[in-house]
Amino acid sequence: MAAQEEQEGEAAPGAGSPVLDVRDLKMHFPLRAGVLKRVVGFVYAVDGVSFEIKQGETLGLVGESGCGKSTVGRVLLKLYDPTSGEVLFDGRNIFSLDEKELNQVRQRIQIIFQDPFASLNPRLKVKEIVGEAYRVHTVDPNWEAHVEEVLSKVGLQREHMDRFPHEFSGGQRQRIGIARALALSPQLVIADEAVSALDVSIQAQVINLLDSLKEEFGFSFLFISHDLSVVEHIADRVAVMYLGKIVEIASDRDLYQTPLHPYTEALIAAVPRAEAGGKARRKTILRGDVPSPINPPSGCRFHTRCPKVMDHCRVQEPQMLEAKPGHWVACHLHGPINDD
Amino acid sequence: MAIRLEDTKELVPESEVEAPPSRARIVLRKMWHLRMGVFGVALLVLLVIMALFAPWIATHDPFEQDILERLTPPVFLEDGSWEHWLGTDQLGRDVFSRIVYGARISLTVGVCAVVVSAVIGVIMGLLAGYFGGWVDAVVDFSVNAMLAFPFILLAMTLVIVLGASMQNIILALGISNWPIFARVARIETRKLRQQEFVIAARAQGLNHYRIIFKHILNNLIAAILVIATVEVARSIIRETFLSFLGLGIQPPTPSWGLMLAEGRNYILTVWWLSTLPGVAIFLSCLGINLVGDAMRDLLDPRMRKA
Repeated sequence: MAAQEEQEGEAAPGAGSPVLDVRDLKMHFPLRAGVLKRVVGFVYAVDGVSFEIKQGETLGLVGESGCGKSTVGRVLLKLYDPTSGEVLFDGRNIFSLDEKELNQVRQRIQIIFQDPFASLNPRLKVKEIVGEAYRVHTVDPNWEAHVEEVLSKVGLQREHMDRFPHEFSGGQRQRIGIARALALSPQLVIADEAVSALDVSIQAQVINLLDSLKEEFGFSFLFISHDLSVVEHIADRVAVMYLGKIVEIASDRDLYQTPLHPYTEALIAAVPRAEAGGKARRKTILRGDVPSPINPPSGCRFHTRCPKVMDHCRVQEPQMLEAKPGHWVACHLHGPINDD
Repeated sequence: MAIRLEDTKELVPESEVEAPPSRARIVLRKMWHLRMGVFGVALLVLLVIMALFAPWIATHDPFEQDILERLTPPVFLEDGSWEHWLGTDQLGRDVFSRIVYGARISLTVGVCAVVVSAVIGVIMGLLAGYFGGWVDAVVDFSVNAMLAFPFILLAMTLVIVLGASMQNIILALGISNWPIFARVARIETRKLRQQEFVIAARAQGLNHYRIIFKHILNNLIAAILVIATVEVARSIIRETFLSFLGLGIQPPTPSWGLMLAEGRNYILTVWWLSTLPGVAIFLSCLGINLVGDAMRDLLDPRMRKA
């Protein structure tokens, strides 16, 4: 079959070229009501998101809960049918593939899920959970040896292979979930709030594990989280999402030291930290709740809560502009204003 | 001063040693359920033994007629004898032997009918619950149509069309009873489809067939097994029902339903003729239902944790 590609034989794209290129991705979930299930509106969960991830790079995607960041992670694998947009993985648009080709691509992009209890099938043994996809896709008779090797990478032993998920703690289960993702030697790993459900002490362990696995396997990494301090630790670049749109993308250092968007500023100010000798940050406290994604505000979506709101913010939607090299922001404070 | 281990034991207050009352109640309830379950298993084992070893257990040939020994009473009534310890019927056949052989019929029909309906129903329910959309609409409509149609009318029609043989009765009962499995499988599948581990399986590039029949079916089996057990009892009763109406097992084959029907003519004078197969039906179904209950408790993860 032409679509079937040898995973090992494939030449790795040169460093710096994007592994994943997301272009104007939109995911609107229809809202249905009434006896006839008429569509009465849409949830604009993801509304025009573009970003790219380079080979070996870690992109952090942050935002408050409900901003659509998890939806982005799932639409990338076409787990939902997107409304519009393109996702180019290795130059091929995922959304135009048929079911078979899609399943081929899915092997090379893997997700680590948030809830380590819900994401493992309670009736399957660990070796089946970790090894099933590998066994199906490669038809390797020594799949158990492969599973054992992957489990050892995440700190689990051979004797864990024949146990069921309920015999493990949350942290161990998340390690199983990570092993499942790594078993197919993916090019891109999506971590969807992968540590949020864990105790703080275990969070650190799992993050360090992910960090070292990234070095070892060399995969690109999309790290989705609401926790800025976690993202700061692991990401090379960070994208900030608000109500279905990305408002700012910059390198880790730029974003945390000189945030340009008022929303990013507020998020960073909200992270409790002890910094001896650091310059005191201006405290920006956000008021109000996140507006509903069913009926998002006009103009700039952040204008209802923005401390620096200007008149034209309410009417005109700001475009994504490169304010500094590699530092993109969608805010009228940092771009030419069109007065038409 | 050194404290010996024996001393420290006595220092522990008694209230801490004893389990809290809520826990004790749970344990008691489990024991009660377990005891009823054991009783059910005993009845079921008895039934299965009767069915399997019928030729050795029966005291007479169930088809052998003896006009001189007609309608003799069982041993516990006046004029009863150990020769026919549960008496004889209107043709002089040994009632005990016929009940023993009848267990074979009941169990075979009950189990096979449930297998037929479970296979049809679970597959329909899995597909409907997983794919949704028009598949779901079609299955849902057929389930509702089947449930709206009187069961006995459907089974009777099927038997009349197909002809009254054991295979056809199994088929008729199986076909008319699949909606209950489809319903349970559909609802459970809809719930499971949203689960992260199913989404994870899709994200791993596994095909629909594999996800449905490995990841989802795996989690359905406990629920299906519990219903199937109870449905075996219901199918036995339904077989009896059809046989009673003359649309089921045909004479002279010993079926409990048929025996009930044949004894009906003598019910005022020779009451045991109908009552004894009735007791057999009652005890088997009770046993199967108790086993089903116990199984539900054991397989239900919430109960298992307690």
